[in-house]
Amino acid sequence: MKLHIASLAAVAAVALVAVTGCSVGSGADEGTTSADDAALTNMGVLVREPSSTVRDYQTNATKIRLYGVQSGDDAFATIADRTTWKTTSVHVGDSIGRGYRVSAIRPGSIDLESVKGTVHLAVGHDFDAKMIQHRFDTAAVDHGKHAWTVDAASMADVRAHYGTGATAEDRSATPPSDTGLPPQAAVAFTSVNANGVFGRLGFHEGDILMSLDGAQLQAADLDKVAERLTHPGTVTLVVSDQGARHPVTFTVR
Amino acid sequence: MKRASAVGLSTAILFTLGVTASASALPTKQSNAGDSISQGFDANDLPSDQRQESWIQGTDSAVHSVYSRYVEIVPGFTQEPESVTGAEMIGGSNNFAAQASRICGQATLPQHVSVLLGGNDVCNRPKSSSGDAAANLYSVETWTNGLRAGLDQLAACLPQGSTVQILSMPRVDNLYTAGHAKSFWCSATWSLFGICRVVTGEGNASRRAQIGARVDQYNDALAGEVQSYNTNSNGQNARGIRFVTDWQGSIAEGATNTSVGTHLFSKDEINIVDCFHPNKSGQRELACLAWATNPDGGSGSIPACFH
Repeated sequence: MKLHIASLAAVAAVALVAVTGCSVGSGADEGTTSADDAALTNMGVLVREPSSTVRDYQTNATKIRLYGVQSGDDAFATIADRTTWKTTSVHVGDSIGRGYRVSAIRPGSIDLESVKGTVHLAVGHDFDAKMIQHRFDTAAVDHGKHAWTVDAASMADVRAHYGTGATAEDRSATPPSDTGLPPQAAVAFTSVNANGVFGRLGFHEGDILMSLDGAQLQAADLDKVAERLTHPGTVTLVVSDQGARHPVTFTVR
Repeated sequence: MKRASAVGLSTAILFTLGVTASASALPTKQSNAGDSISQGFDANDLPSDQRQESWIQGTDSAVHSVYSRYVEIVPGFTQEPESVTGAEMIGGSNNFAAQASRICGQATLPQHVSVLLGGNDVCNRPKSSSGDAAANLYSVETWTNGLRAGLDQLAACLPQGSTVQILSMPRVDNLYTAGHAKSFWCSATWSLFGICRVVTGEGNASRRAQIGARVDQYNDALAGEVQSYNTNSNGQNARGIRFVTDWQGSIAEGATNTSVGTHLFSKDEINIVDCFHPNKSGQRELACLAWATNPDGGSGSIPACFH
């Protein structure tokens, strides 16, 4: 559940500010009408979800603060949503919500592209942002303290459109007898699509799962977990963050 | 060690006396911002949060936590921890600013807040394939602004007379040495659970040192911010909240074992399950150090904390 620089899936679940790793671009999409296109442009939607209409999006006002940038071949910037203080690291080409796309990262600042032009944001400063989110972006919302809510219907649609969106491998090892430890086992993600179910839940390649509702997991169980998250109820996954195992609770409504 | 003690004394004077914030009555409640270390994770070789073994909130007499030490001198002392396993100073939804916001939202505000974060900020970053092993780590500027986001909130919300103690972050790059000295199991568990691969998966000592150098920079920045807030030279602490830190300089500057950030955790101070988190011995040392550098802790000897 750690926030990797190279992936942006976790941000799709931010309450007010979402930085999506969506692969879709701007412009007309299959399944949308010219009226939809005009309405989406008027709304300020820059990064569209295919076959969506204005009714699939919502907007919120918030502030974004640019904490800083890391230069180099893989330059990235770290931004914070001042409402929740959740942070995200973004690269050039990544989007912030559906209304902004990072167009430049340079020492001391970043540029954000929007349908109304380019916004220049300096390190340490705040930006009044109109955050636009598709309902897929809020299918799972991280409330902090390892507690999430999941919208069952939206997550079912995410699953239908993008699938589980993850692969994993089983790992195990037997500690030497002098440690007194039992055999250890875990499931490690080998790939995560930011648009799929597990991407929406904040998981990334390399993240470790230990158990589902108290039962040990296998890599082959991923789709079963995804399916569980499309029905009302509570799902508890134990994950390992740098070896620290802790439960993450998903309340599905 | 003699030099380290002298440095410690001068720093204590700087941060405790030579400032605008004034000494105050003992607190009746504490809170904290932190990660799995503050949750006592795995301290007794059980792989889950073991808060009773935590250096800050624990109740086990073998650890002698900061909470226990306050209870001994303040009748009715209470605590409301906000630390979360997996938390970073900067990243995610449980970072320092988020935890500070939760502290400020408590029904009864604490007069003492401890902060220990940063290990996950390094360990969660992907390994760099460039010549600079620290290339994928947060910049010092990013680190500083994330720290300020939390300190600004605490300076604004805590009762007058409160103290905020921000401990330096540990040199996670030293884990490689401690783990390899402990057991050949350590390299297996690091790989199995993907633990801090930015250093545990880095066999080149000079590249691990590059990571350590960035940690030193973070801690230097932390100390600079503490001084700015404590003296209100940044204008963010008009009510005189007292800000203190344990950081007294880096290992390279001769300050070994004078702070969390310069303590060289040994093989006997990390647990056997993940070879990463402090065990009870490590937690006890952290508690001792935190108390020795806490103005309410009085005359604690920092070198005596480490055995």
